[in-house]
Amino acid sequence: MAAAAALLALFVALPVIVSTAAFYLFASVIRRLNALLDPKVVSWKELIAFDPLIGWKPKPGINAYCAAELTGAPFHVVTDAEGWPGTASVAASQIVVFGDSFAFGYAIDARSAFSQRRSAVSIKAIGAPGYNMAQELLLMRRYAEQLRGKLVVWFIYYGNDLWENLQPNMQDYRTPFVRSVNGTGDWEIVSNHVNGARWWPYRWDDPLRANERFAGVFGSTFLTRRIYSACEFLITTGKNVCDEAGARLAVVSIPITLQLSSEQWQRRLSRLTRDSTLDANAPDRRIAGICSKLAIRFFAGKDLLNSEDYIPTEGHWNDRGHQRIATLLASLYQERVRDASESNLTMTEHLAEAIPSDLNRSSIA
Amino acid sequence: MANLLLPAANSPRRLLSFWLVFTPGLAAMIATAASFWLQANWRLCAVVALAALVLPVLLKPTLARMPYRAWNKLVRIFGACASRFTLMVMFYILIAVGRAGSSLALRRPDERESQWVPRSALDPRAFFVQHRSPAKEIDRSSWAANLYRWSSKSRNYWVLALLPFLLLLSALDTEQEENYPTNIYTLF
Amino acid sequence: MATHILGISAYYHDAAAALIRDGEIVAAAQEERFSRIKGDPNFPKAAVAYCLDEGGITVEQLDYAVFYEKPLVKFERLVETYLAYVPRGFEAFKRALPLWARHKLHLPDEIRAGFNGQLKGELCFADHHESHAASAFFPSPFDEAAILTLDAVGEWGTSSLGVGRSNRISLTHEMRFPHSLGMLYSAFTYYAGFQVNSGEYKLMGLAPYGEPKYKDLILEKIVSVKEDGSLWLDMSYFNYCQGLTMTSEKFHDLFGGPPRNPETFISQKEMDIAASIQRVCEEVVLRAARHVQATTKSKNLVMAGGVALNCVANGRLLREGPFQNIWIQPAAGDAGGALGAALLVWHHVLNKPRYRQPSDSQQGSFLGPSFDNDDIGLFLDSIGAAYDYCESETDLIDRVGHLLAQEKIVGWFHGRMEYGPRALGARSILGDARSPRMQQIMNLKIKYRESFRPFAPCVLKEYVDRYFDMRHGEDTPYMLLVAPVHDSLRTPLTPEQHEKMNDPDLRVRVSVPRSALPAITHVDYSARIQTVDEQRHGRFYRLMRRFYELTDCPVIVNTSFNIRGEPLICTPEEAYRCFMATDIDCLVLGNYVLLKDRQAAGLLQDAEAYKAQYALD
Repeated sequence: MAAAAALLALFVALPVIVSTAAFYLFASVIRRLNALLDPKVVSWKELIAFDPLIGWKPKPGINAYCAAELTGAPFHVVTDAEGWPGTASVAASQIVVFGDSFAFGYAIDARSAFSQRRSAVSIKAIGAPGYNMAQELLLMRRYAEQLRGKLVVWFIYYGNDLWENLQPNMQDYRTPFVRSVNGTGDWEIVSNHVNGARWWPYRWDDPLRANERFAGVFGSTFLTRRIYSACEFLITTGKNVCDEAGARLAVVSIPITLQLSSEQWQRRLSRLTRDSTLDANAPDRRIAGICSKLAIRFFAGKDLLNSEDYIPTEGHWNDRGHQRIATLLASLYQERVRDASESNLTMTEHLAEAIPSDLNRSSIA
Repeated sequence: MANLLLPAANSPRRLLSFWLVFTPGLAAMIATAASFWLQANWRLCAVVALAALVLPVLLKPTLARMPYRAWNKLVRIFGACASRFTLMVMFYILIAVGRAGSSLALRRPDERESQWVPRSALDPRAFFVQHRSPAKEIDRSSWAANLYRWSSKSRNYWVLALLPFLLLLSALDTEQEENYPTNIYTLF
Repeated sequence: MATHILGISAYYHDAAAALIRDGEIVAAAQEERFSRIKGDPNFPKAAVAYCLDEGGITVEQLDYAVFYEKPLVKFERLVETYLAYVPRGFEAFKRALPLWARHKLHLPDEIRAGFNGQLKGELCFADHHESHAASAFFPSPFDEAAILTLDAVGEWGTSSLGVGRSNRISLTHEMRFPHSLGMLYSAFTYYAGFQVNSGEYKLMGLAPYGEPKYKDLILEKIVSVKEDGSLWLDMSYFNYCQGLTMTSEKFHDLFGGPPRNPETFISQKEMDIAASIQRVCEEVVLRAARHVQATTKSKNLVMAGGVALNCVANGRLLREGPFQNIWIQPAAGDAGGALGAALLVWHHVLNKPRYRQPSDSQQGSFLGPSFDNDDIGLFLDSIGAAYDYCESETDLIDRVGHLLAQEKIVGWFHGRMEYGPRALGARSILGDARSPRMQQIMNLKIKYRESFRPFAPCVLKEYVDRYFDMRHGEDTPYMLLVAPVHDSLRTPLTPEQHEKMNDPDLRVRVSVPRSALPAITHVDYSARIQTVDEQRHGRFYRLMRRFYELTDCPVIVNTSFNIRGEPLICTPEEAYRCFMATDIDCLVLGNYVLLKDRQAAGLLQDAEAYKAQYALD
């Protein structure tokens, strides 16, 4: 009975079987071709190693492909003998950039990163995905002796740098961070907990935490006061390091893509669970104020970049974005130092002339 | 195990490989139509069609993005319909087999009849397989072979009638989430 | 070289992982604690990662990984069920078969993918009820014991009985699907308007409010219970084999209406139904226990399976049953299957001897992650929390003891996380059991839950017989037994209070104080007890002793550190957030003490947003 039923069923299902086989064959051939054409990809965890000072850093001498976290697209990674992107050395470079994944050139082939492009000015990027400003400051100290006469540019990404400065961990990695000293308003860098042991389980996709941090960066909450106070401490310390080293410091802020689109911004606000007054321009105003007090050049990336400079859904710069940053840094290096109180406004206007004319400066009310 | 779906088109290489596999068939269809309607040489038409289709995408792979997405959409629709059809066919087989009864004890037993059924401990050699029959060696074969071996050892031969359709269902996986009821004990 | 065996339960309810090394339990944890999804059924990646971390090994160093049941035997039961009901059942069939064809028939591949392809050891598959039986017998303190496992269903078995001796278990009989005590209880859980597979203990908690009016009807129409504890269900009253609901129209007609809608008013009918099915369940358990005792002649009994979490039935079994000693696996549900499967491989496959511990080898069921004071301090600094650090434990427990005595509610976070559904003093919310307000406050402002259920007490083991009807020094550290509050502590009700006991609002009824420990006394004077001893509980025991010195009361309220629908908290951060989203007065994280009124207002969590993260259970 079962056999007879099965035979009849097979006969009835024959068109489906044949169609499925055709689709299956087609998809299999394409997958095999992809396997041949796609580079062999390694996970990001395989490209990093423990570092006792800063928690982790990319391994030296990498020449491999990694997959971008959100899109899965492979990108080529090349690191030097110390594990930093590219092949140029700090000593031979005129500009040294400290930052996180944006400095590293995440999600884009190495040759397209701003620090690897052909330019009149050589740029060395020191950074890795996930770094906070405390780690970058420690690296600045580490390389202080080699910074004499150079322009030091510090990237601050509003997506996570500001609140990650206060965290003793980045996912399950232990990282240096800053903490308030007995509620005095002073801060200190803490790194004695940094070892190879994992931090405890941490959910990064928790929407409540995400809302709190978002409100902290763009609003005026308990977290806001702490993160900008900590940021001021870090920038002040960085300025001291550069002054002692005989280097010039400049700060460039990197906006999140939400800041570059009114529609996306409003949609994000609608997901907040608490009423808050959030301002997409607030971080730039605050950082500009800090830099102005310290006579540090500040450049608001939001005024220079737009959403077409980012890889869609990935959140990192694309080829065009890196080109603009490379141009910006080169122009920056060419400029003479002006009086600090005038420099921010004047420099921004002046640099705007150096940026390609199809720039669409978007600002969100 | 989405066998019919193409992976995310996150690089020009993937768009290109899709287009290179897709276009010969398309070019052949165009050439056939052209040679039929225009009485033209089939080979010439095929070459021209192939060149016209392939060259632009070689220069700008993102042109293939829409057909790529269209393919996945088509596959999802096909997968959903074909899966439903396959399930109906499988259920028909069950109806046929079910006439012979099932081993579920549904009939009311005698009042004093115990419902405790004797059972034995699992043979240590059976730990390495997905069923209860001891294996001479560790089984690393495919799931279909496993199912076949189990059906013959447990004398559930009729399950083999379902095997082609299980294979078909497995191939028709298009990663679409099924809607499971929440307030029922998960028996499957 | 040590042998490492990892047990896994997954894909149904409450995924978990458990690691043993040379037969000793190293770590065990449920996936939900890490993913924060209640009853998370997915492959327990985070729990596996934790177990390996705790064991100091990598996946490649595992000798065996064992899954807790037999997929192909389960598949057989599934298709046989459809065969029995065709042409009905297509709706269920069309949902089940794709899942099997695409995932569950490929379980070895899915499991290996869960290990990122790094598993070098052998992959094994245990039997479901043997896994339960192993989780009950091997960690128990008995060299020999009768075994009883009771749940909804594994492959075919719904209950099993047998005997354990030395390093072997031998299950001799089982009941087969669809005749299942667990499914029966779940069907009534569904009918009473609670969530299946998580609301069963609510049904149990509702029972004391009702009268077993329907017991005879249930036994006459729905289930035939034999003298030996086996049962037969009239499946015409159920819909779970062929449909998408638990009960059928015939069932609804029998009890005079459709199932109660969740979150609506609980009427006397639901209370009486709860009381009735609870009595039936107890009867089945008692009869099955008598039968297995008569068969095995053992004075010890070990139990596991979801039904073994019915602590009211367990309490009756202890008082009225034929066994002198009972040990129940704290993780009696499917999560415990992971541990049992691992132990099965060690003892049955590798034929290793068993070295039993005099009290048990479950280690108090504190088998999850712990967090040291240094890391806790770093976390608190990172968020700007206000805290005091107590250098010595003596200072700490003195301070907390005083707070408890002042009727403050304390979130207590110390040591390794519990394995199993109950909080046992590592991730607990504590309160003064003597307080008449404690039950209401905890229900409404902390747990955010229906308030017809009392809380459970912890009692110093040496005083258990003074406060509850239990033997002196009775060892029940896992909160799996219910016993009556001692007569001497009961307070007679005034006429006014008697009147309140008829109030349709259960919150009014439960608020009536009826003993010197009103927070933990149910309306029928029962309490779900945990005994606390120094060997297992260390600092928690010493805290209770301090409270006893201050108040002359060795009993406190112990409820799980979470809100309704939330898994038990795991990390200090989760504890802090729960603390700041509820009315807990004080949080103790290791040696750190945090008072709510000292925290910055900006750190308070939005309670509604916090609650909204978790589906109602």
